[in-house]
Amino acid sequence: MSGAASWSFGEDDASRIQLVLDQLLREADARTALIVDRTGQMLATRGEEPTFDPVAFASLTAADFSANDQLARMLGETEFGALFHQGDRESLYLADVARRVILVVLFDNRTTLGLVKLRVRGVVESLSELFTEMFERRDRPAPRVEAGFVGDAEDEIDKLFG
Amino acid sequence: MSLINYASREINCKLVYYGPGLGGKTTNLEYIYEKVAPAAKGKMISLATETERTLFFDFLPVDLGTIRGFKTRFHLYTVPGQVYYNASRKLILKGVDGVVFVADSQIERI
Repeated sequence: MSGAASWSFGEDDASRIQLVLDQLLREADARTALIVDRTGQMLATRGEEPTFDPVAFASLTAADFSANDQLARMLGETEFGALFHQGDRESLYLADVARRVILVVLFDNRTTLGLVKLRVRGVVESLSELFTEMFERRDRPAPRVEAGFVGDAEDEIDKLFG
Repeated sequence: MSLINYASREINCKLVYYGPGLGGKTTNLEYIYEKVAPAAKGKMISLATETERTLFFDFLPVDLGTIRGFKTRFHLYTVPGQVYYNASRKLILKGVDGVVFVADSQIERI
């Protein structure tokens, strides 16, 4: 289990991730690229706006990848670095990034699995460097949310149940 | 491990309902789902067996709205209670911020 420390990323990080994903989408002719963290949270979406619920999608993606990691270990592999789910019209290619996040590429018949795999391989390296740097930063003091945040959050929780 | 996304101004926290089988973890989540206003909740996902025992997890996102400029959301999960689902239980606990322990307090169930 990973530690309980929070981690954060800012607008600079988001811009750098977006540039990498935009390039991937152009070169692979894919529809949408998403970054999901291993705990099931959506970090970034580029390309065509997804028609599905992104929160639920992120949760299921992390679970999918984690379950397949366990299957890999049963076979004596350290991990499955990538997964492919093929549909009639739409397919998903998922790739591990530095054991920290998952890159998901949604594509259709406009492109091929081979091209997507090829382009993802290059992008995973750039993203790995980015995320490794971001997680190393986690040990330094992060900018904090405004004072009073916890009190306001408690008020909102009370309101949830009327 | 809560995630603070300064780019999209979002904070996400992960809470896991944990405890022995048939203790009411999924029922807790279903109750919250019923009580929370539609605008504040997302789709509830249950990966369960045909007999409705939790196989992998139940998942419910709850939106607290915008607090001090940050869109704040809780991700509520349950784990399967049965001992033989140990592997999936560990996966769900990855990156957890808080745990709610649920057990049946009936004397014959303790």
